[in-house]
Amino acid sequence: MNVSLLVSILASASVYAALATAVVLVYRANRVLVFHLAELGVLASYLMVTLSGEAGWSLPASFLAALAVALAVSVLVHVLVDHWGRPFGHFVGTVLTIAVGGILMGLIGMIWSGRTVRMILAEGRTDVFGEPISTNTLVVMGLCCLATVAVHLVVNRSRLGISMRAVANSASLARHRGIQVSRVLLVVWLLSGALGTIAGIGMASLSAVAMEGAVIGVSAIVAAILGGLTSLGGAIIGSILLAFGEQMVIVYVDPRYSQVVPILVLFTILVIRPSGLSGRTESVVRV
Amino acid sequence: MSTVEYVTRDLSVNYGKVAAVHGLSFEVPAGGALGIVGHNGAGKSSTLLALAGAVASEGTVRGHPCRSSARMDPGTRAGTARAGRPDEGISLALVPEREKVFGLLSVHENLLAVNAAPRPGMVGIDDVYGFFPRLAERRDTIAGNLSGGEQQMLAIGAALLQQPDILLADEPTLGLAVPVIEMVCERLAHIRRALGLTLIVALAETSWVSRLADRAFVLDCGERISGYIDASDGMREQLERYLSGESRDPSPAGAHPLRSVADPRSNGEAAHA
Amino acid sequence: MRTVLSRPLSTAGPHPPAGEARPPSRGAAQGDRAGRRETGALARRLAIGLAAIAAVGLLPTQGLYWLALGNQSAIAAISAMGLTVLVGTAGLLSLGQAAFLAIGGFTAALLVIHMGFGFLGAMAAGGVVAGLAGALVAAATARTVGIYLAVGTLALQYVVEIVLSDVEVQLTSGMGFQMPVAQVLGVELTSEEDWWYFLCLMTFLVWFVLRAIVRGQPGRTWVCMKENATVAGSLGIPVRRARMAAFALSSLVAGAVGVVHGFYMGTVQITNYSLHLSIVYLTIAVLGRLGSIGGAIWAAAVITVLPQALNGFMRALGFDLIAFGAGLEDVVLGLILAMILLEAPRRLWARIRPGRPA
Repeated sequence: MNVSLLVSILASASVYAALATAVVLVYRANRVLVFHLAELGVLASYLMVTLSGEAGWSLPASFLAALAVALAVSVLVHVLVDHWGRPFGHFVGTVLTIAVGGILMGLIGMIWSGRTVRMILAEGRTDVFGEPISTNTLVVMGLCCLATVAVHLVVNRSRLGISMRAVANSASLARHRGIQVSRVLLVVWLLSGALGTIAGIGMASLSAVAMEGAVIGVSAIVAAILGGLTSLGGAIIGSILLAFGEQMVIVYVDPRYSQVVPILVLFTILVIRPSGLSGRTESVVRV
Repeated sequence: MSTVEYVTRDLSVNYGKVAAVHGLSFEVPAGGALGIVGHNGAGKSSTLLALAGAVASEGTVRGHPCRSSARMDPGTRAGTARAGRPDEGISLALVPEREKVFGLLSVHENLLAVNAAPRPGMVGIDDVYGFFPRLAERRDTIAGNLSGGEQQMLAIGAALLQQPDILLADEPTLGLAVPVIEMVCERLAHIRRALGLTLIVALAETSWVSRLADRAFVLDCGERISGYIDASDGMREQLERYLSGESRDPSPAGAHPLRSVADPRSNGEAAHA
Repeated sequence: MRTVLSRPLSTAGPHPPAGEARPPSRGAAQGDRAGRRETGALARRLAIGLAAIAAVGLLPTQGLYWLALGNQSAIAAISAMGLTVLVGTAGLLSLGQAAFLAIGGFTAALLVIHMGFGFLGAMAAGGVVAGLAGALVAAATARTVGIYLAVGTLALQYVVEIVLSDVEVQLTSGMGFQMPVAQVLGVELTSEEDWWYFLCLMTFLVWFVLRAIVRGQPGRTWVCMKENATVAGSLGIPVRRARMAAFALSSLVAGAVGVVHGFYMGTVQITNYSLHLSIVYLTIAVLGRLGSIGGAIWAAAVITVLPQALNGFMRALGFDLIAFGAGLEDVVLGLILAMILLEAPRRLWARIRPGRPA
């Protein structure tokens, strides 16, 4: 395996890891599986491309603008799922995110009508272990890894993270102990929105983004499930495995079938070990 | 810490059409300990939850109307619910019957997780370790791996960190071995003395009531069916009589004045003073 | 999904203590009220039935435009009825309904073009193959619960799209399969009006059969399974088989619809069976109240007519929405789905009418 292939795998894995981390984060907090993150990422990247391209904004400024929009959407989703939707349970919450995903896709279609966008974050090549690697790929990898690691640190090492894990463990007890569950959930959604933005931009840089880019959402969910859905570390492992599998198929079989990999992986997991590699078996029903 | 007596009048808790608690009235003197005894499903947990502000209730506490809306909305700080107006608060902390600790967090993280309003003379994490040295030894153990007694200690310690005036304990002795219960009772007595804490404890079993409470009353199907039974040698027998249905007071002390004396369900026992 | 759904299993409520005598007048009053309720329900059903018959007869007089909308509604309705049984009665969230339509459609296309199958035969075959696929999916996801199942069906949707798109490229160079004219027992379905009568009949038959199944033993099994699969299993209910049956039934219906859709449109193309369609069906099922088979019918009509109505409405106001195309439809659909899930109409209604508890 050459360096270039390895970097490709790691870059894909880092994008998946960012999204999968977001999926696990939200799922642990309120048992909702988010289906709209990929669409959110696509929206953010379209926005960033338009702002930095046609509107002439600088890259950082357009990134921040895209991030702001994504965070605003996340706040709305929080209100929708955790406040209005609260009496109906997490199942309805999940379907609500499906609805949100549809709305986002519709908005994207309305505004940008199906254009494909590509965004190069950095030009040129860098030498890595003797091989020239696209700097863009390295930048994407770096950004996604940074974001993922940052979130992991927040969750595991900070006071806020303790609140988040407490809420994930038992929201009712958290309430008794004075934790403002609503605020914690809001933070979770904001983090997931940020991760989704970075992942979407990463994807737009690595390959290209079109309306169909939302398929990555499935891959992310699969990576998260592969890792057990309740474990952040598992999400990372799942992402790496998934990216590895996909790249192998792209290189040695047929690029078009790369999308089949996450699905085959998913079915395998569901049949053999629904709890994933490192998750708990609480949500698996044996009948 | 407040020196005022904590008075509850005509408390009602309804879950939809089901009345879990109805017309409940009682008082606890500051620094005292009250036991609520009753079978499973009698409404003990609902009473404590209502006092903690975690469920909607009607009635008055300390003269102020209870929260009549089920603000189970994540935004509420139920654990430090104030009875009555926000400015003159008595804070309460609940030690629930189940799910009393964050099983996935370590002992120390469990204590860190508590979000309490700062107060003068605060009880800190070190104080909690002082009360429960065993917890200090197991600082980094995941709470789910603790023994039952250690979990109970941790739950009490976490509740203390909320600087309560009143500690509400739901079945603190459930599932524990006798020596462990002894230890919990001793620790609670010690803490009460040290902090001047008021205690309201819910128990389904009568064995330990006299160890934990100064006096107790019996709850049945959401209604109070006895007056106050003081902690004495005969307490257990008296409680058992009410629990078995042998005794029942038509208008126990502190009941609503409009309650009919000629209640067809009474068997004529005179009310306790 | 608790509240978007129909009644709970039991009507819990406080029961009077055993010894208490019930007031004597209550029994009689209850019987009276029950009797009146029954006649009311019967009258309502009669009214709906008459209205339906009237609609069937009158629509052709409104012209081709409305006939076409009616046909599309009927097709969507049949598919949604199958889906609402799966998601509503059996509690199995599926995002892959369109995939089963595709399986049915493609099966039929191959059989018709290469083996000379007729319309009805193709419909049966398409339904069976899709049904088997559904059972397979159920078997594969036997050990999973709600959320995972939804993801699994979503994955299925993608996989079917990818694989069948490949098939389409290989066999038709991406042009899709051209379907011949449908023949039903010697009658050719050539005009919109012909299709209208056929589809109305099919809708009625499917409605009738599904209702019978849901009210029978399978339906009750599914309701138990939805409430709590573990408890159901311990009560001796064959949950695995019930799951497979639910999936097989809904995908069988979907497969048949796929065939009908293919013949109606004249071509079978993978682009007709996208995830978007799955979500449309889900929205219809939710709008018509999950589990309500009759509800799926009117909801399908609403959702089908909605884009046209919206376009017309906006055009009357002076806006041309064609440029926004499918995007706007997606947004509206998503909003409808969200609002129904949150019971927005009911809550709004309760808000507007003061004095009635929400």
